[in-house]
Amino acid sequence: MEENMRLLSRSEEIILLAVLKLEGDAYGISIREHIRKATGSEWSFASIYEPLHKLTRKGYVKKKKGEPTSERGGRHKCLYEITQKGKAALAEINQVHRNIWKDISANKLT
Amino acid sequence: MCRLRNKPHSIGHRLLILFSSKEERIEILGDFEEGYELKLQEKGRISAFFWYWLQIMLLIPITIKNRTYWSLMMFKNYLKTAFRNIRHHKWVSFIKVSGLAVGMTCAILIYVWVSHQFRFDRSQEHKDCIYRLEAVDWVDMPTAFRNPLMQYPEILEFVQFNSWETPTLKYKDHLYEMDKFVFTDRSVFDVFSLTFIQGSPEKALEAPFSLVLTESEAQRIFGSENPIGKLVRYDNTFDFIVTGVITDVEDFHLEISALAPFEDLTAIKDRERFLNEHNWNYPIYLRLAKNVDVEQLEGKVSRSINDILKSVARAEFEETDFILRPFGEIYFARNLKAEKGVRHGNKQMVFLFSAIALFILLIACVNFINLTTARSSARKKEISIRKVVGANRRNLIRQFLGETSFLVLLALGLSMILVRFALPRFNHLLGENLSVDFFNVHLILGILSLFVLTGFVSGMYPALHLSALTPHDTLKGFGRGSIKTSLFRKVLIVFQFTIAIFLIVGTLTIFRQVNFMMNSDLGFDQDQILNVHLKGDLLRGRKELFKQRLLQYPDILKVSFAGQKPGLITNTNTWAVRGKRKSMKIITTDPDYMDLMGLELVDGRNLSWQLRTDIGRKYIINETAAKFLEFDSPVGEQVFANFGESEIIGVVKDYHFNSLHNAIIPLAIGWYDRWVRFAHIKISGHNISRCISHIETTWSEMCPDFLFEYEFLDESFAAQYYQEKRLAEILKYFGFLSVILSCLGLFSLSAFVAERRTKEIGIRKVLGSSVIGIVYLLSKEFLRWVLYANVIAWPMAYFAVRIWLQNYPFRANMSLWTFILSTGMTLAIALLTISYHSIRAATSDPVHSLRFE
Repeated sequence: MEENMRLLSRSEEIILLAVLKLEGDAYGISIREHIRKATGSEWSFASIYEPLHKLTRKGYVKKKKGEPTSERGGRHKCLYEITQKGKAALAEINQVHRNIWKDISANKLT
Repeated sequence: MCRLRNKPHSIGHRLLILFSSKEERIEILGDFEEGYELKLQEKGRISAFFWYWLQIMLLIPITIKNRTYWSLMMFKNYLKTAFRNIRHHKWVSFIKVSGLAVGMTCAILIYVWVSHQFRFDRSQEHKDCIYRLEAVDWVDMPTAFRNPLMQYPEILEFVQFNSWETPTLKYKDHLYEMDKFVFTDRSVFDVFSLTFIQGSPEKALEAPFSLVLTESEAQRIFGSENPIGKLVRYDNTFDFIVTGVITDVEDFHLEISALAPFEDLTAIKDRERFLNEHNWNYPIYLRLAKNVDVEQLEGKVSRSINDILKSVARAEFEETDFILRPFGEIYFARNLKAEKGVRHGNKQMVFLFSAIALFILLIACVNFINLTTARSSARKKEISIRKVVGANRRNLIRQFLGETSFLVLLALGLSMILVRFALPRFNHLLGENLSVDFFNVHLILGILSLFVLTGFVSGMYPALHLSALTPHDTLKGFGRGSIKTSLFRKVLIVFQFTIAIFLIVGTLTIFRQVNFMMNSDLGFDQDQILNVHLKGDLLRGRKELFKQRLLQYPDILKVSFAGQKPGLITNTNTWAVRGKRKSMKIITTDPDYMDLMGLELVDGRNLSWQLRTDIGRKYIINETAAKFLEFDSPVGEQVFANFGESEIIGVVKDYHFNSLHNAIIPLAIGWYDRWVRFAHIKISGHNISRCISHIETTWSEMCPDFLFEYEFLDESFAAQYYQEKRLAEILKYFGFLSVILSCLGLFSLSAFVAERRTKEIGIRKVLGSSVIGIVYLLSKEFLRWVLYANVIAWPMAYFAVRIWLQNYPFRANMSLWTFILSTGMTLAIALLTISYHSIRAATSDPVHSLRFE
């Protein structure tokens, strides 16, 4: 892991995790649905595309052409797939989280 | 598969397309449609609709933000490259920008002038309802038309003008010449929009001998005093009282500096003559009601006027057609006979100048195009790298257009400064008083469109050309200027020089025509003759005494009085000859006139001081009149003229009593004691200034209440060619500019060619080529294209010049030399321009050029 790699932002993290979890079926709609279930709030498309573009540019996810479906008016899906680099970034953020949360027990928050 | 089964909202769809990049478009459209579909099933149509639009609204700002961010980044890069380019090629950039700046300066100046021309008469409130009564080619009407015209309900207002008086006003012992003093009806303020500063339109001209002055005239006469209620003395005879001050009348075809009641003319002039139906001197303007059928009214008016004319006709009556000319057409209408106090524009000049400005601008744009495309090799690498890195053609076009706009903007800034400097000279040339206000909306719009036009014309081709280069060729280093482009450049050079040559031929021809007119033998002696404008008492009884006292001075040879001066003989009389109406120009003078002017009598005798019966009853006519009146031997023939039965006593050889713009027309010279306004004074030519001061002294002794004004006849006659001289002067500048601009382009193109062929030249020199041979090699191509331009320009110029010369009954021959001279000039200048670079290239040491990489 490079030293100077910038940490993922929270939304990038959430989306990257969604892509990881959806395992090959990650695209705009499914990611949004996943986030809704996980966080309980509806994200706009705009707020999903933004981080997704950044992730693509950084090379954490890869874009792949999917099957065209009739729900999409015959357009093909644009599937996202996590790369090795992406996984590394997640691992790093996970480590960071743990470091931050270390020694903070749940009762301290109440 | 059913395509677009649920295309939810076409507007939203389009917005999405607009706000998504090509790569993302399919993804976004697909997601939106699928998401909409889901919402539809889940929550129903309405909430799906709102959801859909909310998503779009949230997406758009982010897209815009991203886009501007990236385009700013790119813009920074473009700007950097643009600056580098300018810095690395200082001379070329300088030539490009300065050329454009000069072209744009011309365009802005001409635009200011043209828009001023079209602003004339536009500010009048009733401009659509005002008409001027005109006979075929005549605007001056008798006073007697008022009543028959006013009987028509369609005619709301009637106003008549007299601009013929040029009085001297006297206030507190100071004398003021007034040359735009207008007598007019009170209704003038109901017809025309004249703004009062003091006084009111209802009252101002109500009382007899009241006077309304323009602001600047009031300032001139009264200075800081309040003019209202002040008395000014009119020609030392009447007192006028100032009742109003109006703002200066500008952009208006009528020239007005003072207004006085029309009825006062009955006191000032001979009342009988003033009200006479035969006294055609006063133009009439009518304000009609809205939605009047003008054509029908024209017919009715024409008929009732003709009825009056018939009842007073002296000879066999011929109907005259009267027309109502719309107010808006008057300014650009052709100058009718004997119009006084009226400014006219010339639409041909407007078009000519606009075309020239456009062409000069185009020449500058061509320089820009040629220099940019010729230098494309310098940028090939940059373009290729950009392409390889991922710029598409649209990006590149945008980049180059942007770069051009940047240079055009620089040029525009420069030209705004140039306009400031050139304006006084331009005003002087045109005899105008234009000002440039860069905050004027019209000017801003004009400059904006100039910017867009220039940017587009000079930027589009280079952008398309440069962006079409393929990285493959250029990166390998084989980029050769394509034949198509260099041909295009040559065509553009031909275009530039065609215009330049055309302008030079035009300028030379006009100069020739002016010279021809100024130097032609007029058939009378115009040297050493002074015209003195008679005023006050000198107009009446005391002029004979004046003459006697002048003749006592040894250097004053002859004195004769006349109604109008040569060059402006406009007085027309209608004679009845054998029952037919014949229109004759007339000079009212005395028996000394013939001798003083050096006119040659071909038949009969001169008027004689001994025969008082000659007064008003005997005429000398010119040869043209003899033919026109169909007299075989005119002497002794009887005609019916102003004072009744009259006799022709002599025939004068045809001479140019008016400028050479006019053919020689029938003329009569008669002796009228009372109808004179000028003294022609022939002097010996020794000590002219002493002579003039003697005349002035005599004048101030005899006529102290009036200013002494004089002019030399030859100068006042030549002043009529002012229009042509002006045109020639302006064309001279434009021609000069077009040559300079064309050569500027040629200069840098030759530099480019010399640079590109450095190695070739080196090898040629090593193999024994002479300097001359290489200069020839480098120059011949350019010169060939300049020659082609000549071949195209000659016939164009020939026809244009021929058409122009046809305006003149007496014209200079078209000379082949004009053309040869233009060709020689352009070739010589072009050769000089090219020679700098070609000689430099030819004399350079081949050692250096062969090492050149």
